[in-house]
Amino acid sequence: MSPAYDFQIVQNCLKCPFKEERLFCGLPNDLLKTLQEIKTTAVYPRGALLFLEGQPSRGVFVLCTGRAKLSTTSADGKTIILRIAEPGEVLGLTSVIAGTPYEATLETLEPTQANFISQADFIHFVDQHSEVGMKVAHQLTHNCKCAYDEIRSLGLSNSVPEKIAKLLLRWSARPLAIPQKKSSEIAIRVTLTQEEIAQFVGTSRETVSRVLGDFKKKGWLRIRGATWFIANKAALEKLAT
Amino acid sequence: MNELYQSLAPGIREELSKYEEQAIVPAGRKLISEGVIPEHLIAIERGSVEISVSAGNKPMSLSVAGKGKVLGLRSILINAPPEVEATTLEECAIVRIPRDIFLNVLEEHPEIYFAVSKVLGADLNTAERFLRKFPRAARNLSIDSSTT
Repeated sequence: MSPAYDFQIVQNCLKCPFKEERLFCGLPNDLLKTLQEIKTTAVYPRGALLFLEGQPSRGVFVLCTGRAKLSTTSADGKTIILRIAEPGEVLGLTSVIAGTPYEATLETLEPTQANFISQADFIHFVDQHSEVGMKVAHQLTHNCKCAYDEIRSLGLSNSVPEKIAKLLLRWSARPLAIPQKKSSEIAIRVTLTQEEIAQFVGTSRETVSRVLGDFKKKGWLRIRGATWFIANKAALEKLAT
Repeated sequence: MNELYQSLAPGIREELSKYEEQAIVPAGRKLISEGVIPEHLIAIERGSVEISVSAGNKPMSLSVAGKGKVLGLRSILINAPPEVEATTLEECAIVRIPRDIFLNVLEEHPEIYFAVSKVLGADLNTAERFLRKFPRAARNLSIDSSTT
């Protein structure tokens, strides 16, 4: 029987092949053992809501595999994607530490494995082990930087094409290694729908569609399902600066 | 009591307060400058400061903070220039702890990281609230700019 998801579910944090390269998970074995005891592992399909904005915080989720979007509702009732969370991130941190409701909604963008740690267990874990506190602080400094960069980007961007070019360039930092691409192209996997890209850059789906169509017409971009090929990075960079 | 001290054990608070330097800063002075690693961890005792992020030449005001606000923590922690600026809006009374001394105390008492995380979490919430409230009109960027 084929597996339901195209990734290996890692039940045991001590045996996780990625633990060293991830900001939070690179803990000594004795702490990973404690983590193993207090976390529960679950696998979610695309579109699963892990927590909702305004919901009382009940714990944190550590993304093991898959990506998820953090979104919020603007003053005028529109959905805004704050950022895309990557594997290794701890989500719900600020609310759990401060004991306040979740500030954003977390929704999976693809099949995802996440470990859940309840609020009481997490606070105890951080409070008792300074090394964990250090990891949490460093995760938060990273999150602050992302938020400040996003604010700066909002202030600097003048047009939707520029914003979308910046987004594509950001994604191109994680290229896919696939045989179908031409040597000059950069392949990326895009799991956001055009509607979600619109929520990310603050525009309409129709505008995103029009801009992507324009990029394709100019030969800057090829789209094959969820795999996109950046054919002219220099042109995107010129547009984005 | 400042936002960092609020979550610290009395013994650690006492130790840090031994190194505090008091200062009065006039209005319009930058307490934290973007791109410059601060020499001190700063806490506001009286007065108010504007916290902003600059986008090109355009400063974007994130918030106005007052008594109890701690500034420069993130930058000192990762030894990297800050992304934000803090400018006094009026005459402010501040306390400063030299960066190296704060880092030494942090190394001796890593339990401080929990309190540090609370301050960083509050800063992150401020930034994300700004993103949430950023007017749709401003996010809804013009589409007539040429892509050539």
